[in-house]
Formats: sequence, structure tokens, C-alpha cells
Amino acid sequence: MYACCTVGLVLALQLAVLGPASAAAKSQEDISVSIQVKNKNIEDVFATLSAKTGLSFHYDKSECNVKQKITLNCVNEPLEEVLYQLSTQTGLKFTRKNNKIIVRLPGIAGNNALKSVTLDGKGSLVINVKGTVKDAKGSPIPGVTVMVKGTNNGTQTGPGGTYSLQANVGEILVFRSMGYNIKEAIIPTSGLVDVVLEDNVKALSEFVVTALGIQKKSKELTYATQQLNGDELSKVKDANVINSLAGKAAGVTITRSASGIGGSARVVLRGNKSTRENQPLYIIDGVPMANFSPAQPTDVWGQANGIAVTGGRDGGDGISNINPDDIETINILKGASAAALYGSQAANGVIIITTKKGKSGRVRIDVSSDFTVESVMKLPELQYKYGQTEKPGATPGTPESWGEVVNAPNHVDDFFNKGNTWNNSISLSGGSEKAQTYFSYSNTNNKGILPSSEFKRHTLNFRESLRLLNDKLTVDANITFVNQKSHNRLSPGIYYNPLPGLYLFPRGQDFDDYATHFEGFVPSRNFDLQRWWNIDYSNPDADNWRGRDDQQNPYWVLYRTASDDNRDRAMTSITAKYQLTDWLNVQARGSFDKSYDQYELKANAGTQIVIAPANGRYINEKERNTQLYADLIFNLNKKLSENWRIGATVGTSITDTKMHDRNMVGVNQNASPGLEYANKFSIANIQANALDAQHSIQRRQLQALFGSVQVGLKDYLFLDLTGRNDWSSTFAFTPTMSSGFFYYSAGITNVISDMLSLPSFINFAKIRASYAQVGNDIAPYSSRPGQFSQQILSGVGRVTFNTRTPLPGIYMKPEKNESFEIGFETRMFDDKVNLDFTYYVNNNFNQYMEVPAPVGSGYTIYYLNLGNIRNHGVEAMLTLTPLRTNNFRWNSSFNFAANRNKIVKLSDPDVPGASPSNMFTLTQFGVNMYGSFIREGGSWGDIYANRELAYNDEGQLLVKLNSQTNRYEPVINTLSQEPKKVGNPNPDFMLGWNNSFDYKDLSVSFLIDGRFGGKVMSVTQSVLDAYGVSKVTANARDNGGVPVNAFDVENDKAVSSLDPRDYYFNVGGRAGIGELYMYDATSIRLRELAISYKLPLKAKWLRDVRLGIIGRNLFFFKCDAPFDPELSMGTGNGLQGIDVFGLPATRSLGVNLKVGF
Amino acid sequence: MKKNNYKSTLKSLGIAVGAACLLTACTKNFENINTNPYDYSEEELAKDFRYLGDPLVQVINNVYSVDPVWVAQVQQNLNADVYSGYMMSPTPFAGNVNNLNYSFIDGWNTNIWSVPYTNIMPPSKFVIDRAYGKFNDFYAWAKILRVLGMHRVSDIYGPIIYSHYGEINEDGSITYDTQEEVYDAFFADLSEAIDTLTAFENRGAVKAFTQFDKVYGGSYKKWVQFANTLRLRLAIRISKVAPAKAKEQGEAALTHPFGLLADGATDNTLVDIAPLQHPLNVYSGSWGDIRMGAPMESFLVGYNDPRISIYFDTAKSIIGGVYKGIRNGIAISSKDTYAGFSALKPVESKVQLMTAAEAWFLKAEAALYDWANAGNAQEDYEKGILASFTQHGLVANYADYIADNSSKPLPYNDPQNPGNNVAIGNANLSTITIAWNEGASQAEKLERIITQKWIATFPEGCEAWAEFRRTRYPKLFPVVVNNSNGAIPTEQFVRRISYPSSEYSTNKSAVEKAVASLGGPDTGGTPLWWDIN
Repeated sequence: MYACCTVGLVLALQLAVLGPASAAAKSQEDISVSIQVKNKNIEDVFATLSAKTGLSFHYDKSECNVKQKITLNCVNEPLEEVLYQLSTQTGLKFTRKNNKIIVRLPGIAGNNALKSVTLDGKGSLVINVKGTVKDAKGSPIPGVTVMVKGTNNGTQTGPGGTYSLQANVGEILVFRSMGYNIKEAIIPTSGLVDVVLEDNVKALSEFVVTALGIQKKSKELTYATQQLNGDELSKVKDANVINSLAGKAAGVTITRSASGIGGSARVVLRGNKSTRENQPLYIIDGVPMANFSPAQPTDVWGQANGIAVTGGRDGGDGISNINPDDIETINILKGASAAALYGSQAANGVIIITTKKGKSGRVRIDVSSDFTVESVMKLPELQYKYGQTEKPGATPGTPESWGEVVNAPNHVDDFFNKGNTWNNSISLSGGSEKAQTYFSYSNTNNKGILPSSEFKRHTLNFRESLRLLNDKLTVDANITFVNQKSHNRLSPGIYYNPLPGLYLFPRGQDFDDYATHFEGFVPSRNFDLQRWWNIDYSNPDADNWRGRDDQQNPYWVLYRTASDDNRDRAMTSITAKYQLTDWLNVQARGSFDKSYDQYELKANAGTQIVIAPANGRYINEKERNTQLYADLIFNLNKKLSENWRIGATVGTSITDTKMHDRNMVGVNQNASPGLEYANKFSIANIQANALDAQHSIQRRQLQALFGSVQVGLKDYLFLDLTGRNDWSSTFAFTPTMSSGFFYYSAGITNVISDMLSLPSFINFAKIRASYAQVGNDIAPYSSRPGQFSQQILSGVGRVTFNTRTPLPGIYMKPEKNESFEIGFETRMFDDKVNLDFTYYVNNNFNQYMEVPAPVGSGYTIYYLNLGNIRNHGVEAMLTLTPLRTNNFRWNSSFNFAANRNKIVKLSDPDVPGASPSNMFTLTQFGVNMYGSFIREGGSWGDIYANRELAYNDEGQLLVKLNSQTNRYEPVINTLSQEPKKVGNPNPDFMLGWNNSFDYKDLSVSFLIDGRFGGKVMSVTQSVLDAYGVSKVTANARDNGGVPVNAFDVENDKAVSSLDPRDYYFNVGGRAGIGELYMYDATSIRLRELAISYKLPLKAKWLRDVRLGIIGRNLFFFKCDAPFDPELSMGTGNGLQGIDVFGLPATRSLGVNLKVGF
Repeated sequence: MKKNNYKSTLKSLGIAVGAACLLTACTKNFENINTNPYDYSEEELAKDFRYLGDPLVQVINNVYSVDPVWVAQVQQNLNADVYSGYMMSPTPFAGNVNNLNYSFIDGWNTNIWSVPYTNIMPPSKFVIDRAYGKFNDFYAWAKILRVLGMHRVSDIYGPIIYSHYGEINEDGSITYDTQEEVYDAFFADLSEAIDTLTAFENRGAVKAFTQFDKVYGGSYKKWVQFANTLRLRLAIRISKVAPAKAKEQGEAALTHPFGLLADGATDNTLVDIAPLQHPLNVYSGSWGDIRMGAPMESFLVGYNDPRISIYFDTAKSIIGGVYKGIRNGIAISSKDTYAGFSALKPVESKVQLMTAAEAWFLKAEAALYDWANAGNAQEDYEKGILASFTQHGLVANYADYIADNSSKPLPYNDPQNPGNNVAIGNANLSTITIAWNEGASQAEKLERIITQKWIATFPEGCEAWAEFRRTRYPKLFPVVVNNSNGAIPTEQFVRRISYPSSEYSTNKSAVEKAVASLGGPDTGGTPLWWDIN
């Protein structure tokens, strides 16, 4: 059964590959063409050329006489020559931009406003003016129109970007070329005018890659997209390339894991929509890329993957494996309308990455090297004035520091290193007309701010593009290898984390002693074990010296409980496209993506007893992720009449995933002594009674049939329809399995500026509207969970009876995501002001929900689909060019997004347990203060508290006398039945402001962005307060107490001040009062700064040398929370907006060098 | 040329349509893909009776949940084990506002409810349904284990879901049994199981569940003795509220030819959980979360009871060398204040669910009520102490111990906070002695029996707490800090645990009816049906 599908597809693939001849998209390389035509319509000539070269011709039919007759006889001549001949015969001007040829009428002068230049009255001074036109990277640009302003005098640059013409000194030359900003220059007496044209970002996005790799003109799109080019992302690099999107795209919220460099990132487009998956689909060069994270922490302790009492583990993610320098463009399809063709994987939007291809012609080598230094940017505010409450003696003393004044030294600041990161990459591109090669290698090498932590990554990418069978067949194959090693990536949370011990260390004890001697010889065991102020294995009174699970010697954690997270990954894909006729092509693609992760924790003997047994603890986790993808697509593009054009796509695809194919073997923390021989970390050394083992896999296959139709009327009215039917294996055992699920989208756009005559300052204006319905499948196996499951815990392997099931009497259904968006786009004042505005509303029905079953039913959890989560919001992008002179240019762009999320419904009156008060748990409280639940009436990500201070009707804090201390303590209500909502980490709105200044060879750019609104929780602060090591507790002591308006009911007495210890000890701790530890998440920062200078070197073999200074996350303009609110403990659905001893935010500053040969 | 193109177009289109059709036909494989290869189906477990035996192993390992350890900690240790006076935690959990001072934490108590309804009811029902009529020994064993697991749940909450388990009403609710009804059901189940296994034993049937039975190695006879003792335990429990029924059921147990558990060396119900550690070792040892309770210190030190060194370590540092317990429900600012008090002695990997000693003490109490075949109260009482001493290898100390007619529980001193002291003369400080006094009042006799039963039952706090509520013996020290906001009067002690919030959200109408049958609000202050003190 399985074979039949694949055979069908493979057969199709092979035929498509082996069939005769085709054409393909080509980059800006030298192309030779043979064409013989006699008296043919120019339109037909364009079509023929297009078929032969893969280039597309773009022209305005109203301007251009398409019936003009042409005769050509060219045999293997350079394209430029052919175009030149065309130009001579028609008078048309051709400008080539990558694989597009822009056709223009000659002599259309722009009304470029430049202050008029007055000649000095000495009359005409005609000279020979010449020069070279280059792009920002120093490559010559052929085909640039060079006009003398206000005249019909003009020419075009040749293949080397050179031009010459006759003009007067003092006259102004206007350089224009599609894809570049218009540039003007005054002719000097020397007659030499060399100019550099800057990329016009707006124009670059004229053509955008849409779903399934279909290129469309942005003006024809019926929905909002945003395109960023690779340069913008690699200007100031981050080890996880997706972090570079932050602040640059409206409606994209990026949260980084507080685990440091190379950690995972959570990307959410237009708000969280689902109880299950909220991150977008990544598409690289047309095929889906697996973005699985092998592990994320699931609770405040930091435990991951169901392994009890371990440190949190950020297993990284898939997108971070991409080398930023390989990226040509990133396209963000934020809404369901844009993504509808991708089907159920794309309900949360799609991020399309197009990578670089080889270019024919001279071999180009680009080398780029960045070096940055990271330093701590924001630490918790701590105190060193007051000492340990009870000093050590027969016992270690107390862990808290509520004692007398000791004025201890600050031991925290020096603990962190200056981190440094090298990012080096080299790429090579070249080839012949038939075969082009792109090869790149990059490495990232980071030493973290945490001593001993390291991150290394190597990426190798090889791409070959071929044109075969008379150029009718194009084949493009790509293979990428990634090797990534991360040593001691921080585990946010309380266990296996050096930071709790560092911050909580009782003031007044000698930290340096424990830093230099983090282990000590224990005669009874004949080797070294941990030393910490409350851990001493050589003390006969062992019970008092075994320490606490919430802190250990930070150096012990780093050097003796090391963790290693390694990944090897190979991604390979092949695309074959065959041009069947000039209006129809067929394309087949296949890809294979496999990653292999290994995680090891090696905790030496001497690790605190709660989290590791006496001989040490070893955990070995291996995970494989495999994804196979294949599709077959027919593309049709035909002009039906003068006014009507039709485009259509029909295709089928299959995606087969084996996710989280994981096995874990480890030592149970409660076993004794765990390992047979101490400190030997191997599976064979695990004692039989200590063995924990897990084995799991998630399998899923998705098959689809899809199609789309686009109808264009007169190039100003476009209608877009898509439809897709998905069959997902996750619906096995339900009726949805055989029927699959269908969804569709419809959109319309009207280019008003092409239809009506608008005031002249408006260069472009369009409106668009679209509606889409997208389904999303369910988790594997949930339609019929297994009857019994098995795992081994402490050497015992037993099956357990499964009590989770779909609600009896129902079948699981797909999520139904309905979205509507409407937008407006305009460019004004010579493209100096561009505005794009979108409003969207998205309702996601049939949420996957788990409700507690009435236990009397025989089950504990029912699965079902119900409810609706709504997101609606606006996005606006404003791009300005406030200043533009000959040598100076200032570009400024703003992007703004505001999203409102509401859990409209998450109940079903007919289902017991699915009452409005029922909640979908993202993070359970456990014994701690943080809980996050999705609940009807609330918003996705709401943070809840399980304890609150008690107040009387007058608003006075209730206090009671403690019989032991005879002092007042606040009265605390536990809210176990009804947790209290205390905030939501999602921002009210986000604003990014990107600026670039270019002055001759110098360019400066910076990015300021802010998240406004939202609240985050700091468990760190709560714990620090309870231990008396936070600055606020010292301040309270300095002030003689915590002023309160309180009342003692029992004694009917008002109380105005509480002892700081009695107050903070009771409200703080990891089970503290949630409300008091919520902070405004508003943060505004200087996210990126880049200064670069192009060295004026002249050598034949050297194209370009650029030197720069780069900075990232330099400082906050505003941030009231005690940690960077953009960091979160995990990047899964839970633990959003919470800090539990996460790695402090860092600023990085460095230099980079780019050399092109 | 052009014609060719069209031809190949058609050809490719044909292939595409073909491929698409094949695709849509290929969902047959989906069932295979969407089945977790590492889970098990009933068929896969049919070999070696594992589908009947493994679920029952799950049941018996969750009467007192053995893994993960924190579950048992909140299922029993941080409520019943403390409410019984056996233990107290030095840890100020949740800012010291928690179960231990009568502020119930739903997140903890949920486990008292969900553990049995995840790990006892579903697997035992599965076995009962599958084994009935085919493998009646498994059927009977499942019924005994189900009563063992669920009577503890009823003794914590009162009404529970038992006889209507799995029957969903029109409105989606599942009906509770009142506590009286559920006790009737327990007796019916035990009676049927006892008859069945007795017949198996009498005809010398091949033992079928030996490989799964980590208590009695598959012995039908031992399980009948256990079931008889369990029946007597439940009969004694309702002896005040329903004396006639109690007598009937108690006598049925006492007159069964196989008798009760009797031998302190071999008959104790100890579930072998090796290689797992006993959870008590973890939370007393590495976690340092549980210590000796003040009443234990008062009685065991006062009685010079040799079992003290089996149960506890001496205290560390602050008050080193002596046994020191922590009083229940006190103000604790820091874990360090009381962490050095007596820890529990590590125990072997056996979870004690019932002892032979208990059987004798039950019998002694039955004798007080003149139930048939109960024997002589003094004899039973002393045999109970002997069984306990035998269990702990202390037979040599037995004779002196039972003869001691002067030692009394000691007053309690808290070296960290005199406010917690219990002085001589305090009504909560017992004056009961060890040696049997035949001339004593019925009440004094009962106090003596229950006090010794309490010592012998350690560390099984669930049964000890139930018997304390029924008899108010042994005398325990009330909490000092009471955070129940008046719901639980301090001198009345906590009498039950309220239903988890999940019952109100999933089974509202039924739980409300159950609460109505309770005769009071759903708080810790409302006494259970059999608790008529």
C-alpha cells in the first residue's frame, strides 16, 4: 500500500526529469542565446526569448506596441547583444534585473525633484561625459538608463556598466534602473561621473516568492507579505538567523530562549492561534524544512522530555541551522490567505527562505568574517550588604541572608566572562551557461558569557543548477550539512543551573574559596567531591551538609555536571522543471531532511543528592528527525485576450515525517548509587535498578491535492482562488481519513493607480482583500491512543493502562482557521514615502482540547475539538527617504503591529468537564508560583497565580502574629480552586524603526525597536527576595521595614510596617505571590547598529572590501522588568513570559570584514 | 514540434492525475502510521496472562503510589502520614500555608483522587471484565485489590464512585455511592472473592498469578486470609455507625476456616517494589522533607519502645543524640529550623499495606464487642504486640514491654519554639499505659488497643488516620496554626479532604449529590459516615 503512492510519484518525478528540454529562472549571469525570427510580433519574440533563457519580460502593454514586427538572426550571441538589436529595431530600452527584463519606452523622464542647478552663465560647454555605474557591492550594472535631466539626450550602460555621452558641464545626469533607486549627479569639468546605485528595497520586492515557490508580482498579491533580503539579515548576525527578523517585520513576534547563543527562538505571526502549534512553517527553496526542537523545558524546575529532576534543556531548533550568508531573501506570509496553498502545515503562516544559487561567468568568491564580544547587559539587582542569617558552625548556617551588616564583596559580576563569537563564511559561485555551482562553508564559534560554555557550528552547502535538453529542462540540486556542538548551554530553571547558587550564595561567606576549590578530597571515598557552603561530604554529620536541591556550587555545575548537545543534519533537495509549452510547465521536487541529535548529561558523584545519586548521574538522549517531501506541480500562464490573463497551478504533494524518534537511557535520580563505577559515564555503567529508559516516535504522513487560479484583468484587477484537500494520517480511525479535509482561499486586489488617474504625487496605490479557510491536523495517535504504554523507571519496566482517549461518541476533527484581511498600499512622492497597511481577523475554530474526563467514566482525559481563539490586529509599514542628495542618503522605515487575542470560546455545554471554567494547561503550577492556561474569556498565554495576599474591605493588607517570632506576617490566601489571572506576556503593540545613512562609501544603520505592554513574571526575583539577597530587600532593611497599610484582625490593630524578612520571606520564593512579581514587559532597545566603510582599494582581482563595526542589543531605552522580557524560559507553548534563572541578556559589539574576489 | 509538446503535456497531465488518484487511495496505510509502535494492545499482552497480571501490578503499586516519588508525597505523605501523628514536615511548603496547617492545596490533593482513578479503578475494571467466567482467580484477586485501594479513598473523602464506575448518566455525570453504599459494595466484593479463592485453594488449583504477586507469591490461601482481615478492618470501621452490619461482616471474617493474617514474621502485607526505593527513603533522606511527628516521640520515648530505633534516627546537631519529633501544623519560617529533628530510618523496598499485628488488634476490638470467634481481648492485644515485635525482630523485648504498667507518653518540648510545647496535664497528652488491665473501662481498653495498633501500623498513615478519626485514639496534638479559616475546628482535627476541583468541573451534579449525602459542606471539617465522634 505504501509502495503504491511512492511509485506513482517517483515515476512522475523521473519522467519529468528525463523528458525533453526546458527553461528555468536564471540569475544575473551572462547568457548566450540563439534566435532566428522573421517579422514576428515583439510579444512572441519576448515569449521565445523567455522560454530559451528563463528570463521573464515585464512591460506595460499600454505603453508598448506589442504587434511591432521584429527580425532577428542571432547564433549563440550574448543576451545583451540580442537585446541591443531589439532595442535598435524598436527603440525600447531593456533593463535586466536578475531573471527579469524590464522593458521601457525611451525618453520617459522622471519628475525627479532635485534643486535646479544654475549654470554659471558661460554658455554651453559640451564635453564627453563617461563613467561606470556599479551596485552597492561594486558590481557593474549594465543597461542603466543615463539621461541628461530635462532633455531627451541619453544612453544606456554597456555590459561593463560603462557609458559615455555628450553633455554640458553642470548639467545633471539621471541614472535609473529597475531595482535601484534613481540617482542624480552633476557633471563636473572632468566629465567623469562614476556612480553607485543603491538597491531599492521596495523595487526588489516587486517580485515575491509566494506559496509553492510561485513568483508573483507584488502588485498582484491579494494579501500582505513582507520580504527581507539576505543583506539585511546578515548585516548584524545572530547565531540563530531568525532572531535577525526581530524589529524588521511587522506582525512577527520573536521570543528567544534564555539559554544563550545558539538557543532556540519562538516565532509567532499575527498572534498565537492554537492550543497545539503556533510557529510558522519554514519553506526553503520551495520545500518544507523541519523545525523541530528536540527538547524544551516544561516547568519551573526546567525538566524536559518527561525526565524527572533534570535541568531544563533547550534542544535548539531547526531554523538556526541555516547559514545567514546563504540566504538570498526571506519572505513572510503572515496570514492564512497567503499560506493557504501549503495547507494544514501552514495555518500559522509561512516563512519562505530563498537561498543563493550559482552564477555563470567569472568565479566569485565572497568572504565574510565577524567577530563580536558579548557582555552582560542586565543582571538582577542584588545586595551584598547584609550577611547570612545564621552563621555557619556545627551546621552550615542558613541559606538566607537576613543577618547583620557584613558588606561582602560583589562576587556575581566577575563570574560572567566576556563572551566572544566568530562568524566566518566563504562562498564560491561560478559556472558555465549550462551548469552553475554555488558552494559555501561557514562556521560559528562562540564562547559564552557563562564560563566553560561553548557553541560551534559548521555549515556546508553545495548547490548545482543545470540546464539540459535545449534548455527546456532545468534541474537544481542542493545539499547542506550541518554539524553543531554546544557545551553547557544554560539550563534555565532551578536544577542543574549555576545561577541559583551564584545569586543566592549567603553573603559573608568566602565565595572565592568555593570558586577556586569547588571540589575537595573526601578520604572516605578517595576522590574529590563537591564543596559548597552547605555541601561537605567529609563532614561526619552528613545530614546537615548535603545541601539543597535549589542551589549548588556554580563552578561544580559548570565543570562537573556538564551537558553536551550535538546535532548533525543533512538536508538535500532536487527540483526538476520542464517547459512543456511556452505557457505550461511541470515541476517535480523532492527533498530529504534528516537530523540526528545527541544530548548527554554527565553529573559527577558529589552532585546534590536530590538531583543525582551517590555515584553520579548520566543521561543519554538520542533523537532523529526525518522528513521526506515530494511534489508534482503543473503551472499554466496564458494570456486569453488583450485584457484577460489567466494563471493556474495544479499539483499534488506528500510529506512523510518521523518526528522525535527518541530514545533516552539514563540514571534515575532516586536510585542508589546509580552508576556502578563513580564518574564513568556510559550506558553499560548504569546499575540495573537505576535504569530509566524511554522510547518514542511521532509518525505522520500528509498527502495533498491542490490547485490555484489567478485571473488578471488589464493588469489592475486580480482575482486569486486556491483550493486544497489534505489527507493526514493523524485522522486514521476517523471519517476524515478517507475524505480528507478541504479548504480554500479567495482574494482580490485592485491597483487603483493603474485604473484611475490619481494625483501625480501618488506613484502607486492598491487595495486588497482576501479570505481563507485553512485546516490543521491533530497530534499523531490522538485519534486512537494505544491501550497500554510502557517505560522503564528505576529498572522496572511495566505497562500502564492508558486512560486518555477521544471523547466517546465523537471523532477528532481538523482545526478550522478562518481569516480575513484587507489592506492598502501606496507609494508617493517619487517612492520616497511608501505605506502598507493591513487589518486582519483570524478565528481558529475546533481547537484541539483536553478536558478532564469525569474519572468515574474510566478515563482521566478526553480529547475533543471545540472553541475558537480569535486574533485580530493591524500591521503598518512606512518607508521613508527623508533625505537624498548626491552623496548622502537617509532611509528610514517603521513597522508597527498590534494584535488582540481572545479566547472566544473554549467550552461545550454538552461535554462534562468542558465548562467555561475549564482550562487548557500550558504550564501547570506544580508546587511553584507560575501557571499558564488557555481559558475561555482570557487570552492566549495568560499567566496565573495560585496565591494572593489577603485584604479587607478597606483595602488594608491583613496580617497575623507569628507565634514563633512574635512579629507580624502577611495573611496569604491560596487559590487552589480558582487561580488568579495576573497578566499576559504578549505585547499590546510593537514598533520597529530602521534607519540607514549612506555617505559615499560610508554607511551607518541602526534599528530601534520596542514591545509595548504585556506583563512578565520573574520567579528569579521572587526567590532572591525570599533569600534576602535582592537589592530591594537591602533597601527595605536600610529603611527599617516594609511600609504597609495593614490590619491585624485578631487583635483589632493597625500595622504600618513589617519586618523585611517576614514580608519578603512570605511573599517571595518559588511559590511566591505571583501578582507581586509581575513586571511591565515594555522594552525599547537599540537592537542593531552597523557602521561599514568600503575601502577604496583598486585591484583587478579584488571586487570589494568592506570593513564594519556591528553591535546587537546594545542598550535599553526602557525596560522595567528585572530581566529582558524578550527572553523566555522556553520556546514551546508553555513558560512564555517567565524568567527562572535564565541567562542574563547580553549586548554584543564587534567588527566585520567582507571581501569579494 | 508543437504537436509533440502537447502530447507530452497530455502525457504528464495523465501521470499527474494518476499519481493523484494513487495518493488518495493510499490512506489505507494511515492506520498503521497513526499507531504508536511502542504502545501495546490487548492482543500483544495476551501471552503469559500479562494482560490480566500487569494491570493488577499497576493497581497494587498505586495503593500507595511508588513512582514517581513526588506523587506519593502528595498522595499520602503530606496529608495522612502527618494527620495520623506519625510524621511532620520541616519544610514550609507554599510559604507554610498548606495541608499541614489545614489550608488544602488542590494541586496536591488532586493526586489523592486521581492516582486511584488512573491506576486502580481502570486496570482493575479491565481485569474484572476480561477475567470474569474465564479466569476467576484473577477476577477475585482484582476485586480484593480494588477494595484495598478504594476503601482508603472512601476513608479520605466519604462518598466515592465505585459501583457505578463507568456508567455514564444521561447528563454525563457518574453517580457516587454514599459511604454506606460503598462499604456494602466492598463487603459484597470481598465476600465473593473470598468464596472464589477459597474454592481455588480447596481444589488445589495451579497458582496462576505467582509471577505478578509481589506480596504472597500467588498463594490463594494467603490472599483469602488477607481478604478476611480486610473485611474485619472494614467491619470494625463501621462498628459504631452500623453495629449490626459490622457484627455480621466481622463474624463472617472471624469464622472463615482460613482465618486472618496472624504471623508477624510471614503474614504482613508488604509489597515488594524492588528495585525501586521506598518513597519514604527519598523524602526523608535525600529531600529532607519529612521527620518524626511529635506524638511518636511522646509515645515511643515515653514507653521506652524498642521500635523507636527501627522507625527513626536520633536528631542531628541542634539537639543531637535524642529522638525529637516535630509538632503538627506549626509556624515554620525556615526549613533549617526543624530539618535536624529525627529523620525516618531507611526502610527496605517494601510498602506495608497491612500487618499481622493489625489483625490481632482488630480481633481484640471485636472481642470487646463480643463478636463470635473473636477470642479474648487481652490475648489478642498481646498477640498483636508480639506480632509487631516479631515483625521488627524484637521478640526478646516483648515480655518486659507488655508487663510495663507505668510508662506513659511524655510531654512534648519544642526546643525551637516553646509555644509548641505540650505539657503534663494537657488534655491532648495521653496517660494510657502499655500493660493490659482487664478491670479498665471499655474506653480505656479501646484506647490501649488503638494506641498499640497505631504504633504497630507505622508508617501506614492512611489507616492510622482513619482509626484516629473513628476512635479519637491515640490522643494526638492539635495543630498550632490553623489556616482553614474556621472550616476545621482545631480541637476536632481534620476529618476528611475535600473533593478535587476537577470533580466539580467534570461531574458536578453527582458530586453535589455526594456532598449532600455527606451531611455537611465539602470541607475538611465535615465528619464521614462512620466518624460519629
